[in-house]
Amino acid sequence: MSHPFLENRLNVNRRYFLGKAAVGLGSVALGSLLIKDLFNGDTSSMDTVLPHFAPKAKRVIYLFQNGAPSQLESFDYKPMLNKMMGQELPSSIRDGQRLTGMTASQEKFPLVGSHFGFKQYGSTGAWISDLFPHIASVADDICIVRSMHTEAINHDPALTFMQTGAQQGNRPSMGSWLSYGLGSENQNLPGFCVLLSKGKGNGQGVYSKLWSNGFLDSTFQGVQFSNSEERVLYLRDQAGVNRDDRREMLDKLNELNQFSFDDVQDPEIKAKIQQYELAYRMQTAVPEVTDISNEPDHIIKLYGSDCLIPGTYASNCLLARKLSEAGVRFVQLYHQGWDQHSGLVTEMPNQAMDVDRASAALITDLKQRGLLDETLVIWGGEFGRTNYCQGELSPGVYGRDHHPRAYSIWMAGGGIKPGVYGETDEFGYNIVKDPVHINDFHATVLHLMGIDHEKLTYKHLGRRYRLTDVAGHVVKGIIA
Amino acid sequence: MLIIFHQKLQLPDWLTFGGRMHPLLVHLPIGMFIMTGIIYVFKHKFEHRTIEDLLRLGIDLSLLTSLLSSIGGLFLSLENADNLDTIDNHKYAAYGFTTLLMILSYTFGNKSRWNDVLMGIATIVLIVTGHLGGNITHGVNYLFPQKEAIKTADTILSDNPNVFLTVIQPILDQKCVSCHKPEKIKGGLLLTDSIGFKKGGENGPIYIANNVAESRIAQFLRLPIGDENHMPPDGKVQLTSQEIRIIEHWIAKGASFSKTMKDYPETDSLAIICKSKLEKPKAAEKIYTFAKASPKTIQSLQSSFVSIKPLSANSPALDVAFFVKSAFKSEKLSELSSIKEQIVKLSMINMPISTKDIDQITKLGNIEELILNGTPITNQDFGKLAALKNLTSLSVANTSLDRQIESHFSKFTNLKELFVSNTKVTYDIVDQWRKKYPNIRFNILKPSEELPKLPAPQTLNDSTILKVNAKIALKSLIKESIIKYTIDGTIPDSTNGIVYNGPINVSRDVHIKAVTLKDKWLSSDVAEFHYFVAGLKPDDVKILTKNNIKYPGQGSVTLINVKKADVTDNTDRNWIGFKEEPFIGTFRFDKKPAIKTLSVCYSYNIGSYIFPPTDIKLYGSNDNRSFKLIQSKSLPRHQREMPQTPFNAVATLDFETVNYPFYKLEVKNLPKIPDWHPGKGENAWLFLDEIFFYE
Repeated sequence: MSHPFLENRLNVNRRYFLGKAAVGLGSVALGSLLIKDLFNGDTSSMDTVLPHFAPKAKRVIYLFQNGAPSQLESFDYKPMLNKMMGQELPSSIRDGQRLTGMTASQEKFPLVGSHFGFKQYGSTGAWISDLFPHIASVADDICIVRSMHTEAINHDPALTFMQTGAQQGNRPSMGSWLSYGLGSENQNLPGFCVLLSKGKGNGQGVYSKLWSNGFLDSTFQGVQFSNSEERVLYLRDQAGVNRDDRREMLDKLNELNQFSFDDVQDPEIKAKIQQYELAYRMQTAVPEVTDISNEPDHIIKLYGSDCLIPGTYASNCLLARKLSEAGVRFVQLYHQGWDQHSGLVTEMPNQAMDVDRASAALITDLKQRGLLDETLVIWGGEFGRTNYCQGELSPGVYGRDHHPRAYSIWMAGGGIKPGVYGETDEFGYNIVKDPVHINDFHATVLHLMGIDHEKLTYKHLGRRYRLTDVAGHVVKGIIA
Repeated sequence: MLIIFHQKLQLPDWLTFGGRMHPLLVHLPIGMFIMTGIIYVFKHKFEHRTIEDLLRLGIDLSLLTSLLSSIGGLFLSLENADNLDTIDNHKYAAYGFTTLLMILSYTFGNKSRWNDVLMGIATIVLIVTGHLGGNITHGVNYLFPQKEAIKTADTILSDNPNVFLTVIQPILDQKCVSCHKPEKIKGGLLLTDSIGFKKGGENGPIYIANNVAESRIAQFLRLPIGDENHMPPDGKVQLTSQEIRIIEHWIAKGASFSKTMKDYPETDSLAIICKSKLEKPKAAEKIYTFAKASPKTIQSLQSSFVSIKPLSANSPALDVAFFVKSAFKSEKLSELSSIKEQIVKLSMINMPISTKDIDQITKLGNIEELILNGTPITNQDFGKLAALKNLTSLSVANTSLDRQIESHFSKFTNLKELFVSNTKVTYDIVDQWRKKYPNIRFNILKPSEELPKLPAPQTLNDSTILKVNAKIALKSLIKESIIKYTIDGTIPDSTNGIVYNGPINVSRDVHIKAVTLKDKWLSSDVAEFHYFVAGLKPDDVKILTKNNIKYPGQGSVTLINVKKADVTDNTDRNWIGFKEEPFIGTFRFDKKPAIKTLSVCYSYNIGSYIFPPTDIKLYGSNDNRSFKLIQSKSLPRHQREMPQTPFNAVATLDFETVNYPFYKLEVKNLPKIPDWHPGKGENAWLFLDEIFFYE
C-alpha cells in the first residue's frame, strides 16, 4: 500500500483540485451571471439532498453483541435438537458448509438442543428463551429476525461485514455512512458515538476499524467514549483556563492549521480543524448529557443499578438513551463475551444477565418518552452458532462453533413492525423462509432513515461505493 | 395557420417527437446566425480568401465555443447530485469532441485525407455529447414520452380512486417494472403504466379482457417457477398468490383502466382493496400545501444549539430541535415565528423554558408533534398548548405536571397520544383516563413490583496500602442509601455492622466487608476490601539467601517499595519468589525507631504451588553481626479441605518494643508439598511482596 501521506496527495489531486479550481475561477468569471446562492451554499452539506424521503427513524442505537450469541439459546426455538440430542448432524442438512478450523477436524457432529427452556410471549407468540425474561416482556415492541445470514465464518471478517458492508475492513462503518448522509442533529456532539463494555464470557476483540470512517472524511468516524467516570477524556479545561482563553487558543491554532493546509493541501488538516471545533462545543454539551446523577430512582431501577457503574452494559444503555435523546445520529454499543465455544451452559446465563434487563429497559424508556417511534434499536451479533456440539458432548456441558448460514437479531422502534420474521429449518441450520442478508439489513436500516441505499454513494478510487455496494434489497416485511 | 390555430392543435403521437426536438433545434439559429454575423462584419476580409479559410474559421470558432462550454459545464456539474453517471459520460464525450477539434484545427491546412475521417468522428461524438446533455436536462424519457399516463399519488388520495392505479399498478411497480421499464424493456414490454400494459410486448397483447385463461400475463404468472417462461424469472421476488388472484380477478372483470372504485360493487374484492388503501394512506408521505421557507431564513435561525431540518429532501415541513440546556435562549424560540407555518415537529427536551416560551410555542400553529420532556412546564402551560389545533402527539415525561391537567383535555381537539411518564400523575389515574378519553393514547411507565438490587459500595482509595494515618473512604452510587461495614469478618446487613459516616481510621491492616442498604431496594452484594498500612521505611534491605531465578522481582527493594502485587498474576514484578532456599534478609534503620510489630505479606495461592510460610523468626542486632531472637511464630499449615481461592495474605508478629538499628528476618517456605496436592514432595513456593515494621 502507498504511504498515507501520498494517499492524501492523491486525494488532493482528484477531489480537491478540480473543485478548488472551479470555485476559484468560476466565482470570478461567472459570479455575476449566475444566481447568488450558487457559491454561498455550503457545498459539503448534503442536507439539501437527504433524506431522500420522510424517514421513519431519525436515530439508531445498535446494541452489538460481540462474539455472536447463540440463536439456539435465545430467539430460535428448535425442540427437534433436544429430541435428537447426541445424534449426528445429517450431511444433507450440512450440505457442504465449510467449518472453522476449530471443528473441521471433529469426527462427529452431535446435535445439541438448548439447555434452557423457551416460552411464547407477546401477541405474536414469539418463542424466547428463559435467559431473556426482560426482553421477553417487551416482545410486542420488537421484531425478531430469525433468518439473518452472512458469508463470513470468523469473528473479524464477520464483525467487519456487519458494521461496514464488506469483510475486508477498509470501508466506512454504518454510523459513518449515516453521519455522512444525514449529518449530525446536534452540532455539539459527534454524530456517531461508540460505547464499549465487557461481559465475563469468552471474549473477542473489538477494534477501532469497526467505527472507522474508511474513505469518507475523518469527521465522520465514530467517537469512542471512555469507561471512566469522565466519559470523554481530556475535555475539561485545565484549572486557570477559561472559555475565552480556550477560544482564543483555538483560533490561533486554527490559523496555524490553515497555514499548514494552504501549504500541503492535506484534507486531514481541514478535518482536524473541524474536530477541534467540535471538541470545543462538546465541552458544554458532554458534561450535560453524561451526567446521570439526576436520573430518577425509577430509571435506575428500570436499567438495574449497574447502570450507575461506568463501563457496564447497563450504564452504556442509559448513556445511549441520553445521547440519542440529545440528537446523536448513531450510538454503537459493543458488549463482549458472547463466544461460547465451550462452557455455554455456564457462560451464557451470565452474559444474558448482563444485557437482558438493560436492553429491555432501553426500549421501555424510549417508549415512555415518546421517542421509540423515531429511534431504531438493533440487538444482535455477527453470525450464529452451530446446532452441533464443539468438542465432546456430555450432559449439561457443551459449546457451539461459528455458523454463518442462519442467526437471529431483533430490532425495535423507528418504523419496525413488531413480530417474528423469517424461519429456519427444524435443525436451525438452514433458512427456509425470508432470508435476510447483511446487505438487505443495511438497505433496510438506511431505508428507515429515509435513505435510498442505492443513492447514498461516495466516489473513491475511480468508482462509486455504497454501504450495500452492489447488492441489498429493503426488507419490506419488517417495516410498519 | 399553425400559429393561429395552435390551441386547437391535437398532435399524433409520432409528432410529439418532432416537438421534443425543439431544445436541439433552438440551438441552431443561435450558432448559425452568429457565424453569419461574423462573416457579414468581416466580409471584406474574406474577399480574396478560399473556402478553406472559411472552413478553418468555422473550426476555430467551434473549438473556442466548445472550450468555453466545457468549462461552464464543469462548473455546473459541481452543483448536481443526481444522474452522476450520465453527467460523467457527457463530460468525457465533450472533452473528446473538444480534443478532436484541437487536432482538426492543427492539421486542417495540410489537405490530409485524415480531415474527412476526423470530421466524421467529430460529428458522431457531437451527436452523442448533445444527446447525453439532453438526457441530463430533460430526462432520459424525454424524447419518446408516454402520453396520458396518469400517475398514482393524487389519484389514490381522491375518495373514489382509479382501480387500476390503486390496485394493479402498485403490484407491477413492485414486482415487474425492474425489468419492464424504459431503461430495460425486456421482451418489448413496458409495465410502468397503463399504455405499456395495453400495448403488450413483442409477442402481442398480454391480456384479453374477461378471459383469464387466455391472457398471457396470467399464464406466465401461473407457470411453475422452473419454467423458462415463468414470470418473474426464478431468483426475482415472486408475486404472492393473492397478488396473482387480484390480477386475474381484474382481468375477469373486464380489465378496465378507467373504472374507479365506485364502478365496482362494494363487495367486489377490488373495491375492498381500494377502500383499505384509502383508510391507510400510511405508505404515502403526508403532503403539506404550505410554501417552503427560504433557505436563507432557515440558515439564519439555525445554530449549533438549534437544528432545523426538512422532513425529507423536498418537503416544506420542518422539524426543529433545541439542544444543550445551558445554551438555551428564549430569543431563539421567538425568532422561529418567521417559519411558524412550516414547523410541524418541535423538540425541546430538558430545555429550561418559561411560561413566555410556552406562549411562543402556541404561536407555531402547525405543530403536530411536540416534545417537552424534562422541561419546567406547569399545569397552566399545559392548558395553553391546546391552542395548537394540529397537535396530535405531546410528550411531557419527566415534568412536574399532575392530575390537574385533566381539566384541559377537552380543549385539545386533535390530540392522539400523550406521554406522561415520571410526572406526578400516577399509573392508576392514567388507567381511569384511558377509559374516559378513548381517543387519546396515554403512555406511562408501569411501576415495577420487583425490588431492584443495590450496587455494592465502592472504594475511593487508589491503593490498598495506606500511608500511616490515612483513611479508608467508601462510596455508594445510589442517593439516600447507607453503607454498613464490618472489620471482624462477619457479614454486614440491616442488623449487623457499623454505619459508614465518613472515612474510616485504621492503624493496622484491615479486611472490610461492606454493603449498601436502602428502603424498598434489595441490599447489595457484599464488597470486600483488604487494606495494608505502610510501616516505617527501612534505610536498607539485603537478601542473604537466593531467590528463584525466574521470580527475581525488582531485587531486594521489592520488599519495601510500598507496592502490593496482584495475587492472580505470579509474574507481577512486585512479587519475589523463593523455592530452593528460604528467605533470610537484613533490614537497617539508621534512626533506630521503636518497633513492636512486624507484618510479612505473602501470596496464598495453593493452585500455583504457592503455600503460606511455616515459620517466621525476627532477630535484632546493634552491630549487624551478633543477632538476638526477638520473636518467632509458626503458621498453621494449609489443609486439603480449606478453600483454595488465592488471596494476599499477611502474617503479623507482636513483641515488646525494641529499637535496634539492624534486624534479621527468616521466613521459611514449606519444605515438602503434601501428598494430596499434584506437586507432592517438592519444595513449596514462597512469594513475598512487602515487609512492614510498625511502631
